[in-house]
Amino acid sequence: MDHVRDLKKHPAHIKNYQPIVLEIGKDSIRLSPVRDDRADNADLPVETLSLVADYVRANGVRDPNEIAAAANGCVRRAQQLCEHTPDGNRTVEQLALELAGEQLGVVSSQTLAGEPDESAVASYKVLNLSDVVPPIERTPMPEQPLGDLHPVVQPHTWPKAIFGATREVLSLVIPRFRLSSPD
Amino acid sequence: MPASEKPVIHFARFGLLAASLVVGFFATTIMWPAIVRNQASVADMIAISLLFVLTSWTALWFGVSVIGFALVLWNPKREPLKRRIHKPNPFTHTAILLPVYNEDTTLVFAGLQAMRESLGKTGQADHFDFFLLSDSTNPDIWLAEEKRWRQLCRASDGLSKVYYRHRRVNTGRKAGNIADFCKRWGAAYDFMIPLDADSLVEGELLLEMVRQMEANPQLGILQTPPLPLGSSSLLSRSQQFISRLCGPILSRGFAWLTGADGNYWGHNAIIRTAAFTRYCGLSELPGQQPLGGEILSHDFVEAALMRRAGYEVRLATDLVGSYEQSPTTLPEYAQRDQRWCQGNMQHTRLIVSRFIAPMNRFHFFTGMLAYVSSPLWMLFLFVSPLAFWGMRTRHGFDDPSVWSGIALFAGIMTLLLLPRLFGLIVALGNAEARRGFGGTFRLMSSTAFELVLSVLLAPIMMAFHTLFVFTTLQGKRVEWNSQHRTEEGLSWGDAWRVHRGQTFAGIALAALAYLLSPTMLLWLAPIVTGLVFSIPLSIFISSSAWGDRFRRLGLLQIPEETDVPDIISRFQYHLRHSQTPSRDPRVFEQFLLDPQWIGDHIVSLQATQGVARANLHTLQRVRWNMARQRCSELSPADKLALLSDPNALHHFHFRAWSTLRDGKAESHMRN
Repeated sequence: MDHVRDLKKHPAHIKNYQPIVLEIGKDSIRLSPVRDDRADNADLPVETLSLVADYVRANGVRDPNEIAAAANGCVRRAQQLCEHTPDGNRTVEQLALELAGEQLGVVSSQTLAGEPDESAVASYKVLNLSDVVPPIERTPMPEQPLGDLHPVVQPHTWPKAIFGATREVLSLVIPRFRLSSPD
Repeated sequence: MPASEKPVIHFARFGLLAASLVVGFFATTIMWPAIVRNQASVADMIAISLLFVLTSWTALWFGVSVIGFALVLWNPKREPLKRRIHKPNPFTHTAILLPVYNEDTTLVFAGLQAMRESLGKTGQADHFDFFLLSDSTNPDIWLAEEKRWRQLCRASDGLSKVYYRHRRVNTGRKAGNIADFCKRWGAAYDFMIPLDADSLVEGELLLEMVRQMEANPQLGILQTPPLPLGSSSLLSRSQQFISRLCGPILSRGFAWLTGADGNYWGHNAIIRTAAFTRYCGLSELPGQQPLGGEILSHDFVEAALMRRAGYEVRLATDLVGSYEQSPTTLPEYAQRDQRWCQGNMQHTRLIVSRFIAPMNRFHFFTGMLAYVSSPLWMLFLFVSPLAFWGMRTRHGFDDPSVWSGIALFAGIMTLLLLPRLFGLIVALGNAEARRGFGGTFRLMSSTAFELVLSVLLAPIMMAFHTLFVFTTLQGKRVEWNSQHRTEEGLSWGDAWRVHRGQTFAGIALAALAYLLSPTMLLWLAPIVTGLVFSIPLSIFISSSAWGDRFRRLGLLQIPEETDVPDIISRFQYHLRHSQTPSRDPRVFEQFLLDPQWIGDHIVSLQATQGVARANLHTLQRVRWNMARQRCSELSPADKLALLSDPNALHHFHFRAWSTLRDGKAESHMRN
């Protein structure tokens, strides 16, 4: 979570911005209590609050106060971002979810900014790279030559040879059978 | 193989080939006076030539079964693995490869877990790693595979490790899949054991294969003969019965004759990885498809390349515990044959290529003739009545040549049927095997039933193979769409679509033969009957209900059904207790909503270097569909593009959450 970067990105006049701190315990995930100066959240859209709360809960946070505080903080911040730096591709809902995701460690701010993040592994995961496959050790596997026709069976020679041989055999065999035939 | 055996085997090979040709020549000389009266017509010449080729071909396989029968009588015991005294622990590392391509994940993972457990029982699990090498092009199946694999990874069961790799583009099909493993991870493993998605191999057998490879550094490929097992339809039961009855005899004879010049069947075999990587890289055949281009049946070619490099390729008939599943319905069976036919037809190019060992040329030739013999038989059956035409009017059945013809027919039938009799004799002579087959009466009844079924199926398969040979040569492929199998087996509609041509051909042939001569109808009766009744016959043998009835009666039973192998029991257990459906239409939505799954998926992409950025048009289409809550309507290509792009996945993860407001999202997460 790159808060310094985050703050740099946003205008200085955004008020009440308070980052949410993720604490990952042995068996649980919790967010540090967010002290929202504006305790009244009546100005925030209920549906968006509910959605973000659902998202936070689905990611393992169980304390209702933490969930509510996180939802309030993220939605408010998203509203402020949308007001000051409108982004045609992102709604308040999506931005609030992204902020929640960033705080939860689901995604890095670099990824959210749409920058290529191929070198970095995903931050929210169970598996490690070594769980997937062992380290790659490249070995060449040269293609072996195939289908080289033997000189004696080149396309222009073998039909002639086969038909010639067949004709020879038949010319030897047929007269014998004719002789042995009762007719 | 001891050096002293070599001349014997060489002598046996030439002896068998010579004997087969002599039998063919003998049959031809008997029939020549009957067919050619005054002057040989074109039909006469064709009939005689075909008679020579087909009789020699039948005699060759009869000879193999005679050798196998003699070997089994001489040394009937297949050494059970558990009784082996000398069992050194392996000192090498082996990769067990499961290449999958849009397979049923329930079946794949049930088999995988059964083999892991079986291997765990040996106490040598740490010498083996499993690789699930997915080439699945269906994104939902890709995700289903990944989901089950993550479940396996989470379970700390102390069994062999399971690695998972998905390729975005299945270059080179199965051979390319294995080659990709060899290039990237092959160096870390002494041996590899490629399996099919439906393969099952006992842990003890896996260990024994490794021991044999360790003991013989010249051994490049050790192939085990897999026994078809586990399916419930009448066709599968029939296949498993005849494979169990006659398979050991044929494979013993074949293994003895081929010695170190054996063949590789593409799965259930152990391979020396370094030798395979160095010498068995496939190149394309010169020329265009169907006989040129990418090699379709790679296994025979890889065996030839391994032999060319000086390594041995052997068939291990003494090793038991290797199983595979056979197709359930007749159309599935035919479609599998179509794939093999295309591949084996390509091998004609290699029969006359340079730097191929003579026995490998023989393998290519037999593989090709397994399919090409069908149009030859068909041609013979059509031409022979014309060649015999007029015989009756000239001399009637008092003519001795008529009886020589009947004697020849009886002789060919004997060549075809005696291998079954050999199997029957061996089974009846062994009390344990006899009990396993359900007792003397059931064993004999099953053999008789299987024989009748084979006779009826022969013309149907002959018609299929003839069609496949000609379509392959034309560069085409026969497709049967909408194969909606019912739980019972094959529906009437699908059977009609697949077999209607055969039915019409059978009726037309019967009518024509009857008009020309009732005797000709009698001659063609074995073909006509199978063809005319191909639709009901196909439904009957593809039926699981009929298969169950036969099982309850103890018919077509094999010893492995009464004394079920451990690996089969484990497989069936996992199949019964598999909770996740193999095909869940919501799997993509579930994935998009689950950040942890996405995280693990991205880790997989990065570990296997499978990351690829989705193009702008794809992203726009996905965005448009998601905005309208049509996530499930995304095309497979769009889903695949999205699944390969980590940044896009994160973006659409949040978008999916914001579009699914009605609580569906959380329920997805819970699922």
